[in-house]
This record gives sequence, C-alpha cells and structure tokens, in this order.
Amino acid sequence: MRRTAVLSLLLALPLLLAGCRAGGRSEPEQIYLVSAVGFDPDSNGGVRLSLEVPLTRESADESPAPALFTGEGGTVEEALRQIAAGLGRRLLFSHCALLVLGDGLSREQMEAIFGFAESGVTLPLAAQVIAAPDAGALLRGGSLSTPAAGYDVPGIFRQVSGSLGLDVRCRIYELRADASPGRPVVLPLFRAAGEDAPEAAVFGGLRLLREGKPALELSPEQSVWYAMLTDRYDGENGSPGGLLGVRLRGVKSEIGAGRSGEDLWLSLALRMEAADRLPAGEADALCARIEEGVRGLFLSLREQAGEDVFLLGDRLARQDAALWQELAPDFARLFAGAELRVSCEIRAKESGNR
Amino acid sequence: MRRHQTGSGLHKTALAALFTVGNTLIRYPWRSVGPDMLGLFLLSAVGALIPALCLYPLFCRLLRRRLSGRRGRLCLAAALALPLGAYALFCVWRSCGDYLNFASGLILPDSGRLLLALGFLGCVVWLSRVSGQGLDAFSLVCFVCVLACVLALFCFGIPHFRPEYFGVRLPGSAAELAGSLPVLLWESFLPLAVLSGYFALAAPRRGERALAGGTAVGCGILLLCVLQTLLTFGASYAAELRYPYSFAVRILSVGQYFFRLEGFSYLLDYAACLLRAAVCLAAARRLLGRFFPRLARWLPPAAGTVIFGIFCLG
Amino acid sequence: MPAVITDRDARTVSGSLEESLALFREIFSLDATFRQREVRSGAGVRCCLLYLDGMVSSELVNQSIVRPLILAAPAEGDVADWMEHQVLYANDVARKEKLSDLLRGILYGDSVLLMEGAACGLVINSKGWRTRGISEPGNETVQQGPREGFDEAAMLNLAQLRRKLLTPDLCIEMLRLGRRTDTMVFVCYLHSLAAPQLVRQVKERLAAVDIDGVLDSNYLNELIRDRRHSVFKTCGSTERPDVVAAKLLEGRVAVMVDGTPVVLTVPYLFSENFQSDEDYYLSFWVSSVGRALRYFCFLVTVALPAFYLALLTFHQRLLPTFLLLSAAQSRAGVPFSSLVECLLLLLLLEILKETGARMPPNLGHTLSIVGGLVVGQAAVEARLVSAPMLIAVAVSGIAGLMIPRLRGAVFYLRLGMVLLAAVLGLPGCFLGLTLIFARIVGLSSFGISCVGSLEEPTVQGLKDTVVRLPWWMMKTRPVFNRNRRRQGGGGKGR
Repeated sequence: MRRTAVLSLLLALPLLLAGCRAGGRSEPEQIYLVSAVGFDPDSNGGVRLSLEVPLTRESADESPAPALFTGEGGTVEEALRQIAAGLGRRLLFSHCALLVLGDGLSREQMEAIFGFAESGVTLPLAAQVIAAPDAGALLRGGSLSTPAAGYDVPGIFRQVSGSLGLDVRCRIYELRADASPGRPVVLPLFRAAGEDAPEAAVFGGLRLLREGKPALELSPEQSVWYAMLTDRYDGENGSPGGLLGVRLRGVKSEIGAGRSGEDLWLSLALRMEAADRLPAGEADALCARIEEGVRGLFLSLREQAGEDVFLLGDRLARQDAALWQELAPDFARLFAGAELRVSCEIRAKESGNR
Repeated sequence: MRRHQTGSGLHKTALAALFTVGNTLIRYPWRSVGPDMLGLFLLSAVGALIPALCLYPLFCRLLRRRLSGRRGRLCLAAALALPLGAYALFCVWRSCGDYLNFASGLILPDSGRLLLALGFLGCVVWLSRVSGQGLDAFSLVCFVCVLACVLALFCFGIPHFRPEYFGVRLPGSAAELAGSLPVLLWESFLPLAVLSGYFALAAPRRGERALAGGTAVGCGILLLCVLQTLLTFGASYAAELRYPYSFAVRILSVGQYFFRLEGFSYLLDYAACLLRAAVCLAAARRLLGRFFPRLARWLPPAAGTVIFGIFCLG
Repeated sequence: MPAVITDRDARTVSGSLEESLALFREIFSLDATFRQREVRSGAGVRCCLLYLDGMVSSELVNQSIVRPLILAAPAEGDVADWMEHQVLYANDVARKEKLSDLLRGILYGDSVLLMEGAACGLVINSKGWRTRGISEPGNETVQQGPREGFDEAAMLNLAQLRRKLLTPDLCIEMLRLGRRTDTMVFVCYLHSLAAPQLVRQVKERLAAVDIDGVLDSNYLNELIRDRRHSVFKTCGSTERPDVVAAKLLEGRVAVMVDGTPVVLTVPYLFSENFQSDEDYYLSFWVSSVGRALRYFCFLVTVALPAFYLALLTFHQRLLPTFLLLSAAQSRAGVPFSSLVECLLLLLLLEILKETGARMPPNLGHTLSIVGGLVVGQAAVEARLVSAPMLIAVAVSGIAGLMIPRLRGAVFYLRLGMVLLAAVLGLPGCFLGLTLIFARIVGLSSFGISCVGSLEEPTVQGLKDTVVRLPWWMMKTRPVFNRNRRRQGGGGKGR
C-alpha cells in the first residue's frame, strides 16, 4: 500500500509540475530566431552587432519577413545585452547559418566572436563565415538569408565555389580547426550588388585575414589561382565551362629545395580540359594567360604580405618532414626567394588530344 | 531460468559494452591528452581488457565461493570487495553527475536539474534492484539503439571528415606516458574493475567471454566516436571544446532537410550513463551483500537518496 | 427461494412426489416462468416434469419426454432406473438426488422429472434457449482465413474448439464460479503441451475467486491476473476459435466463460499485443510488414506528441528551421500553451474515439463531419489550436489504432510521456521510455515473463516478434513451453 502511494506520488509529480514555469521552456512564438549575425567594429573600439531575424506573419501564405536588430558594446556580450533589452522575446541563435565579419575587426575581436560562437549553446559551428566591407549594410540589404527560401548567401557561395572549383572551408569549426599562429584565415567576400539591387549580394572573391596585418583581397579570378596554389582547388566538382572557358582537371604540385637546402621552389603542373578542341594558337594563349595569372598572384601576394600565405611550409612538412625540419628556421628567407614554376596543358574533352 | 542463463551471453556482452562507453564520451580527458589522444585512446582500450582478463578470475575465486569458516579468504575478500564497493558508489555519483552536467549544460540549460536528477536517480535505483533479466533486457535493447545511432552518425559524418587530421602518435617517452596514463587509468581501468566485480557475482559461469567481448565492443564504439571527433575537428580544436563528440554530431546534415542530428547522441549518452550508474550500484549492492546481506537490500535507495542530497546541496 | 445455489446444501428429494413438488413450488413461487407438467405414465406411475418456460425446447420436451412417458410400458424394477434407460428418448439423462443439482439443471434449461416412489429426480437435457449463432467477431475481422467466432453458449464454443483440435489430448475441466450466477467456467489445455504448474496455477486462481456473479471473462481477467494495477494486459482475450486453438497448440491455457464469447488465454506475452489474427494466414512477407509497422506505430503513438512537445518548447534548435518558423507562425494567436493545447487535443481524440465506438452506425456521417470539419478545420482557423500540434496528435491517434490490444495502455502512456516532456524535455522523454520499458520488462503472466523473446535473442526466439518468419522456419514453440519442437524433420520448404 505504501509502495503504491509512493509510486502514485512520483507519477503524479510531473502532472503537478507541468504547470510550473521551467526556465528553459519557451513557446516558439516567444522567441526570435536569428538567421544571420553581422559583426562590425564601432567607432569606440567595440563591436556593433547586427542580427537578422525573420518575423512570422499572420497569414501562413506569406513567408517570414526579415528584420534587423543592431546594438553596440565594448564586447559582443554587451552588444547582445543592449539588443535583448529592447526585445520582448528570447533570442535563439542555434539556427543561425551565416556570420558576417566586417572590415576592421581586430584579431582579439575575432577571437571573442568565435568564443561567443563556441560557448554553450549559441551559434552552430556549421554556420558559414563570410567577410563584407560592412556586415550591417550587407544584412540590411534584405532577404539575404531568408530561411523560408533557403539561405541565399551560403547558397550563392556554394554555387559560385562549385562553378569556380574553390574548396575554401569557411564554417566556424573549419576555421577554428585550421587556425594556428601565422596561418591566414580565408573568408569569402561578399558585397551588396549596388543601389539598383540592394537585396542581392555578389561574390567578391576571397579575403585573407592575418594576425595584426591588413587584409588581402583577391578577385574571383585571383581566388581560383590562390586555390590552386594552396591545394584548395576542386576541379572535379566545377561545372563545365568554369573559369576562362576551361576546366581544371588536376593540379600536380611539388615543393622542394635545391641541393644545398637553398632555393626553395614550387612547381605546379595544371591539366586543363576544354569542352571542344581548341586551335593550337588559342590553347597556347590561354595557357600563357593562366600561367601568367598564377605567377602574378604568387608574386603579388608575396610582395604585399611578405609571409607564407600559401601555406607552402605546411605542404613541405607533409611531403618531406625531414627537409622541413631542416629548413624551418630559415623558411621566411627561403620563401622570399622561392621560385614558382607553372606549366599548363589544355586537352579537349572528346578526343583527349591536344 | 536455466534457459535465460544459457542464452545470456549476448545480453551480458551488450551490458559490458554499454558500461564501457558509460560517461567516457562526456568525461574523456581531451584536454589532458592533447594531440596524442588517438594513440593514448588505443592504449587505454588495450588496457581496458586487463580487468576482464586478470581481475575477473580473481574476483570469481574470491567472491563466488563460500567464505564462512575460512578467515583468511574472508579477510582477503573483504579487503577487495568493500573498497571496490565504495568505489562503485563513487562511480554512481560521478556518472549521474556527469550526465546531469551534460544535460543541464547542453540539453536543458536553465531548467529542471533537480527534477532530472530525481528521475535519473530513480531509474538508476530501479535498474540496480531489478532482476538480472530486466537489466539484461534493458541492456540489449539500449545497445542495439546505441550501436545503430553511432554507426549511422559515423556514416553521416564521413563527408565532413578530413583525412589530414588522422594521426596515431604514441607517447614518445616514458615521461609523456607517465603524465597521461594516470588520467586514463582513472577514467577507464578502475570503472572496468567494478564491471569485473559485477560479472563475478552476477554473471553465469564462463562470463569472461562476454566481459572481454563486451569491453572490446564498447571500446570499438568509443573508437568510432573518437575518430569521428578527431577527423571532424582535429585533435587541437577538439581539445578546446567542452563536449567534442556532441559538437561533432551537431554539424551533421543529411541532404537538405535533416539537420541537427545531435538528438541521437543525447540518447547514447543517456543510455550509457544510466547503465553504468545502475551496474555500479548493483555491483555495490552485491559486493556489500556478500558480507552484509540485510543491509545490502537498502543500499540502492539509500545511496540514491544521499546522491540526490549531494546534488541538491551542490 | 435460495439466494444462491451451493453444493453444501444437502437436502434431497423424498420419495413422495407431493412433498417434492411442494418444495419446488415454494422455491419458484415468485418465478412466473416455472412450469409443472404432471404426467401419468402408461405404466401407471405418476410423474411430474419441471422446467422453466423459454429455457426448454417444447418439441424436445414433447417428443422426447412426454410422449414416451405416456406410451411407456409397465415399469420393471426401480422406477427411476426404468425411466432413465427404457423410456426417455433424450440423449443426456442424469440421475440426481440432491436438491441443488436438480435446481441447477432447471435453471440451466434442463427438465427435471420427479416420480412417485423415487427418491431422486432425472435431469433431462432439453435446452432450447436461443443463441446468437456463429458469426465473425466485429473487432477481430480478417481479410483471409477463418471467420468463425464464439458466441455466448460455452457448449457451442467448446464444440467449435473441438472441431479445430481433433485430439483426445484436449482437456476441458469445468468449474462453477459466481455465487449467484453459478457460471460455468471451462479450463482448456492440451495435456502434453501445457506445463502442469501453469494449469495448476490457473485452476488455483480460479478456485480462489469469490464473487457474486461472473458475467464476462473480464471479471476473471481482473481477478486472476498477475499485476492487478498494470495498464498492460497479462491475459489474452479473443473471440475466435482458431486463435484459441493456436494458443493451445503453443502450450497456453484457455479459460472459457459461459455467457460470453470472449475467451481468455494465458500466459500472455507482450509481443502478442502486436500480433494480428491473420498474420499466420497471409504470406510472411505481408505479415512481417504489418508486424513491423505495429511496433513502429506503438512508438509513434506513445512518443510522438511528447517528442514534438519537447522539441517545440525546450529544444527548438533540433527542429528544422522551416518547421520551427511554420510552427511559430501557426501558433501566433493561440491562447493556450503548447502543453495545454496538446492535452486538449488528446482529450478530444479520446472523446472522438469513444463516441465512434458507442454511437449508432447511422450517425457515423455526423461524427465524421463534426470531427473532421469542426476539429480539423474550424479550430485551426479560429486559432484555438495550431495545425502542427493537431497533426502530431492525429498521427499519434491513427498509429494507436494499429494496435487495438494496447488501446487502454496507450492512453496512459501517451499522457505520462507528454507530462514528462513538458517538464524535462528530451531527457524527460528518455526517462519516460525507460519507465515504460521497465514496466514492460517487469510484467509476468502466471509466473512467465512477458518479454520472453528478449531472453532468447536468436532467430528461433525472435521468429514471431517484430517479423513473422515463414512457417518452415518456425520449428519451436514459445520459450516458456516445455515441448519446444513444433515441427519434425528438417523441413525447409521448397
């Protein structure tokens, strides 16, 4: 009898407690679902936070309309508190698919942003990170990440990177896993299309962020050369046509040093495929252009950055650990004088002959 | 009854496998082991078989046979069983605590910790008091679900793997090993000693096959989880995350419609922690029951109450 | 009139016909259907036939009793003996001295013949009460297979069972239960298959029943089952003779109660809740799909509203974004919380189910209009409930219809799960499933575990659980049976 009474009480407990206000429980209409987050530096050295939130409408036929909430603060948490104070609902970040980093954010600020993403149950680690001149302006443009229609910017990037063959990893966890001192953070760059179409975003290439140094920006074409130089090119998935009308079928890269350990060199052999057989002169001209583009980017970035933004050191370490150990202390000097050997070959798709 | 005993190899294997998984995924000392985590994990998996192969026969000889009239054997058995029983109770507290921390940190932030503790401990106490048949059936069903979840999540995670993160690096020096091994011993070897004690008292004869097999299967499951974490995040980043496996599963998606599959990993952690806590409590009851049969009956509810009290105060 | 018939009443009839008749007249003084037919036999013996009008067959009485009595030749020797063996044409005549036995006979539709000078009466089979006849049970219909069903007469039911099991191994033992109803209860089993301790246990529990009346087998079900408070069944019930025969062939014991077509079978395994009667009459491919679906539907019906509620209120991040937005949009303006909304819909679902079961068939259209339009459409448009929650509860309800044997249990389980989910979210759902599993594992039916198939997770042990293997693979009987081998040889089909 006593056991029955105890069991009955235990079973009745959920019934009695179901009406209590559990701290973690909230109805879906009591939350704001954040679909995109933008971070910009503000004028006081802090952070300006922009949150894109789709607002549900009365009619089920209408898709949610995005609203933008902004706040500023010395830290991300302060900016968030400022925004939350003016809202009547809880903010839910776990559906955020897009992180936009504006120009001018310091490394410490970016570390704080990623720390904010990883702490507890905030931003999903699979959210895509992009760069923009002004994150708030990009998000203000309109329905760039309308959840009902799919996230546009990540979708645009998937499409563009697929057609260009870029294998740039820019999800939060990929960036964090790749992060190491001296290693640049590579982010896709998006700009608003312009005053004519403020709600559209255009892929503007890649942005390389380095610790305490100005960002390097690459055009879409340069992005492809950069991807080839850093083993981030995935030509198999590129759509036919790709860049310059040809498709990269493979890159064979080698890195080494001369006999004395000096004279670092990187060799790239590009194997391209054209849809139709090209006249000999045209193929040669195209090859020359590609070789010039790749070599030009290498020299340009080496001059601007002054450091190994191509991660050649990592590649050498993987290919020849013993040689890397020998060259590592003097690698900066070796890189400054490294030679890039580029060769290009174009084949037609049908016959396989040049 | 006889039929249940002869056909129970699969049940006990499932129980041992789930016990081995236990709260390891929640507690795995990622930070402590750093980039050597895969190598050290493999070492600890090998070491996990030591209790099955070495301690189990010892426990069988000492604890199963009659103790009355043989004072030497009685003292030896008591010296072994009572501390092991106390450690088993400690494991119960730790397993419940780890799951509650995990649940309140990741699944149910800001709500219901004490109520969850009450429900969880209630299930632990029930499982520890139920007959061997009930625990076996529960183990078998949970094992099937856990195995299916782990395999499915591993398969879904393959597109996200990066082969360059794979690397087995064993400790290069004795000092390195000495620094990391005690942690692994504390996390894997000692709890499995409790499992050996439970098997010695609860399992039928020749339970060593089920014990060793189940431990190996459990290590295999853990290996899949560790591999998935490592190949997704790399060792250094995984070491920074609080619950790396849950985060590794969180990024998974299947096509364009199925996202956020971490709910399945919650089931894994729940079942494994529940079973480990229950088996530890059952082991403590049986170990104590060899010497104090009347007290042993009250041990599960008493221990559950004390642990709940500790959670309330904490 | 005695309130109850008890075998401890030792009164007997005397040799005086008048005294005996006076006794019976006194007993049935308030019963307008009681008849006395005095007959002076051709042999000059004064007799009186006692019966209850409506219970006997007039033709039988006239042709088999009255007519031969009147035409009887002079008696030789003992009158009663002479009547029993030489005069009466009835197929079943029993000689009884005790008043209780004679009363029992009259009350059950037999006729009692009292004779002058005989200190006994003859109980003559003359039953003529109408029965419903053999028809297909309404709640156990099949697409293929036998369509016979039991009716309320136990004797006819036993005859149907006999036709299925043409073996002298079939044992039928009778008890009488119910102090006022004196209901006949038959315990049936196959002697070589049923475990003796099981049969003994059944008979002991039945013998211990002390109740006023037994009008249905469920009275006994609730009095003899193992766990009296459990929501799960531990005694099976069926109205089909082929099902009872199949259960007996697996070593079970059947309890048949006169006056009801529902027969109990014990022990009852939990996996039997998911079996359909025609699983064994259709191809195993078809049956296995249905069987697996039922297991899946059990999970769906018990857990779907709870999981949906947990995801919606605690774990929004686990929902797909479009679904979450859709749920938020549909809940805009709903005055109730998700929990209250869910409970209201569950209550409405139960009301609709009960109404559908109880109402006359010609009102079916009204119910479907009310249920479909009012609840399905108007309530959503009026923003009283949200469409996703309605869908979740409706799917749960439909899934529950797949397992009618768990109808009662599912209601409580579903409610418990919803409450746990409302308090603890997903961990609460896991705890709920653990408790349900704990309850199921702890079930026993007459000392036999209801999850016996989990004890033997082999092909033979699981052959008839989630899937139904072909007959040529079902070589053994269930795990509790002492005679395991069902098939001989190495039959593997062709």
